[in-house]
Amino acid sequence: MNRDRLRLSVFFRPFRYTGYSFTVANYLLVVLTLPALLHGVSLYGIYAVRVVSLSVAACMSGDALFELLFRKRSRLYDGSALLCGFLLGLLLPPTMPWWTVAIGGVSAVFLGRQLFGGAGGSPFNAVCIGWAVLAISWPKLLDPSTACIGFSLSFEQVEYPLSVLRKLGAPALELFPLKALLLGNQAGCIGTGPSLLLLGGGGVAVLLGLVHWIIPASFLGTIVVTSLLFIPAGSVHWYQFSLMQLFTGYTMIGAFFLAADFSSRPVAPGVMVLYGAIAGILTVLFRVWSVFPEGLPFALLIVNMAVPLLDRGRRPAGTVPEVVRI
Amino acid sequence: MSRRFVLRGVSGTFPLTAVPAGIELAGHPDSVLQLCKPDRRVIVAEGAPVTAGTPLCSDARLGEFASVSGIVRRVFPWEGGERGKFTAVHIEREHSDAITQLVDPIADPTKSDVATVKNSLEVTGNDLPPTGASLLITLLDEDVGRVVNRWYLEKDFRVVRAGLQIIRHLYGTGAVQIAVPVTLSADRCGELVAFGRVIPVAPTYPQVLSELILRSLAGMTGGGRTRVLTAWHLAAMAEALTSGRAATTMPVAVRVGRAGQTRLLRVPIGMQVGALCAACGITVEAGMLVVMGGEMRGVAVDTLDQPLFPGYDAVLVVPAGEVEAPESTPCINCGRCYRKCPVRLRVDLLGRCVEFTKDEELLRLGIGQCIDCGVCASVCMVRRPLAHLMAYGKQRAARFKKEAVA
Repeated sequence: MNRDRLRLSVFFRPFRYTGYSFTVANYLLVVLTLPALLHGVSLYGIYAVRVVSLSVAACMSGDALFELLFRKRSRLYDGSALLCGFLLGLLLPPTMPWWTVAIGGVSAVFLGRQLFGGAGGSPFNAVCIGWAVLAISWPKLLDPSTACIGFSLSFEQVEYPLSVLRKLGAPALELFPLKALLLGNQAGCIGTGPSLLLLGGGGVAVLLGLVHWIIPASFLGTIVVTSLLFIPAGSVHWYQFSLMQLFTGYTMIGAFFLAADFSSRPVAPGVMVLYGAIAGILTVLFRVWSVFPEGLPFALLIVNMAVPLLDRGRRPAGTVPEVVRI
Repeated sequence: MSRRFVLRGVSGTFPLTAVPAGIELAGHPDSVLQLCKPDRRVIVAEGAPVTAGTPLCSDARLGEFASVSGIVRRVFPWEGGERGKFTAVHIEREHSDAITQLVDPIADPTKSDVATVKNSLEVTGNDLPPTGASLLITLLDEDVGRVVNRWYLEKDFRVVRAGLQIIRHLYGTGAVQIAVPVTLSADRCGELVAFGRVIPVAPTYPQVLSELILRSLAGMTGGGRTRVLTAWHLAAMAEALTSGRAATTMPVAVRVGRAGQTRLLRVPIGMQVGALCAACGITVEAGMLVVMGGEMRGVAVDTLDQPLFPGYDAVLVVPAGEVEAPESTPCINCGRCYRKCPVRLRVDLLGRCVEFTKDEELLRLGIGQCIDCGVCASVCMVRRPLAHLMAYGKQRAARFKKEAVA
């Protein structure tokens, strides 16, 4: 009997894991948003690289610093800070001064993650928090319509579509053909323009099971329906305004990569429908009525606050569904 | 006396709870301590010989059967600390597997005197329910990696049929439900219809769990008194009544590595995991994971002396490089555990409530509904030990409830 010497691995059941680990999921999401960054680089060159790498560096080093300060085991390797910095960089215009990007990144990881106990603990979307800090503190610097004037772009309309829409009303709809919006031929932030690339990346994320399909479906659907209520007078076609809302601004990156954030979204499928719907309505309202041309991150932050309330109305425990697949 | 032992032994229910099968005594490699609950009456005398599989007390459950063959040396009360008091049975192992003739053989169960058999089953306080209560016979493999029931259905249906005939003679067909995989062939299903109501179940985990099947059959007669039998029980019952011997062997599925091939072997009940591994030519080294039972509900053994018994009819050996242990990471709120939970528990909240000792919240969120399937932990993105937390939380909640009443 050599059992005194033989040390086997012993832990509690189960002994089988299925699905992605958090680390793999984060890196996959970064890879899926990479085409949007490449598109931004093709438009703005080194400026896009500068902002995104600054934002990633700020988020990751800030995360590491706060983990050190709060004496926590570092989980920098899991890629959630990387994803946070990456998405924040994509939301910013390429002309942001370096110190604003750094402040945005550090406030994102501090206010949005570490204050609540690290990745997954926060009730708010960290990226949106970082963006909101910048939007409230330096709205002029964050305004994409003035940011892109200095660049020689391959297309004519070098102003931010949502700003033009607010200024001109219905005539603006004719200035932005659907094809240009889909292909990303629109001025603005680094990685939010190429709607088709983001839609494709988001679709792959849904197929891979990284993003629950209900959230983007409900969010995009509600944006279309709600924007039908605010069609500007003099529009040629009734659907133009809805399509413009769908393919400009942060809509696509928001639907697939911000709204579906693990930490702040609800967990129940039924509640996800409500969550996406409220976020969609608020997004359109912010775009139509607020002082900011784009208000999607604010809409998400507001609906994040409602998630604990919404999550209460869940199915009673102990009901057995017909089919469960693992 | 011996007659009673055998019949009770073959019809026990063997619930899948982690009760230790036998405690090895340090310095006494040939001795095993077997623990019985204090409210059971110990029915083996000191000095009496026992064989592996013999029940040690009245209404024996898992862990209350002898795990080895040998002589009973001593029966004494034992303090289990946190777990309460037990009656310990000290068995000195004897390295002989002589099979004793324990009951009179009945040549053909269908022609035997039904009343006599039924009487012998019930008078002796057998685990089988009295006539009229419900029986669920599940011919499904209740875990990932356990393939014994499938083997019985495909290769050794003869003994299953014999067991079903006994059940039909004893209890009729009205109260019997037979859960089969939907993939079962039509002629097998047609054959089973004669023995009770056939319920097709998707052969995926956790649908195959008898707890879930029972919940979906909540309206059936008997309700909470439903007894669950598996193909092994039927086979053992048939063997006991036709050959007159207690079932001393059982089929065990053995697999090495996650992608390895499954081998099915017939081994004596109470055979040690180490002996089985040696017989299969598997070298177990330090750092390896040896799982007794299925991958989802099995038990990782800490010593290769652990005996195998019904309910733990699979052995999985995972090389050290492939071991994926749970990690103590905080929840990231992805909600997969909740969405995959077959009874729709808020596992994400429950896990945190256990960690932060919110006992009242545990009860409010319905932790008692948990059926220990382990799906939550197996889909967790950050590999939290959710099954462990839920099992501990159930104990905490029960204690909290008890203290609140008192």
